[in-house]
Amino acid sequence: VRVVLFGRAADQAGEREFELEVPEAATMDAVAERLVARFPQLDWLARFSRPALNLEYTSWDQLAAEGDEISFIPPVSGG
Amino acid sequence: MSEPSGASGRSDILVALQDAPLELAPLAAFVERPEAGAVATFSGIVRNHNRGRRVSYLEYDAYRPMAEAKMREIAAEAARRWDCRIAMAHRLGRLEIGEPSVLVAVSCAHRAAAFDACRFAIDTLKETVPIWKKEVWEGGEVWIEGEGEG
Repeated sequence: VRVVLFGRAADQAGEREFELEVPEAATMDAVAERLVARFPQLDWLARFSRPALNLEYTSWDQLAAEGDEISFIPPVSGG
Repeated sequence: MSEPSGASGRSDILVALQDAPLELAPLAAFVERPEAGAVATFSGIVRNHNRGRRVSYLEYDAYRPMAEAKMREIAAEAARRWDCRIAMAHRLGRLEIGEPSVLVAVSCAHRAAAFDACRFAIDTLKETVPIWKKEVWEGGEVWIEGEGEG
């Protein structure tokens, strides 16, 4: 799946967009786990964010499919 | 993206995310119409202090396509609930003190609906649209996450 990061998470990872290998039928939870395995400094992101799948907020038990774009959205601060 | 366009696909809503400075006049002009007796606008401005700290400038980052989609949803809901025309624009990148970071313009038949729709739009944007600000001051910086009243 394609993972996109912003703000603090992008700064810490040093990347904004990359491919992440995940097991078949991985939940958003499992994707976050894989992300933290690659970037241990992002462990806060898995705990303080909401998953987003293909530009929509989704639930942690939602399944990912090949080609999906996934992000983890910490509390926002626009405006 | 720099020019506010009717890319929303609906003629009564306009949404823009842009790096160029924001201007209120084009948004107010977009919502004007003969049926509207009230135009309410909101301007969010970069202020020089936050949580007791002097702020030098702000930097905004966004999940652009999702932020645009969410802003469009908010505008469409406001247009439907209050029967208004609405334009919303958010700026990204580096913003100096005193510059607008977000603008909302709403037109309705009467003022109560215009105020309500405008408030709904800015409040919902601040809760759900994936945009973040980094506060930079002399000697430090921090990404703000979920500050509530900003």
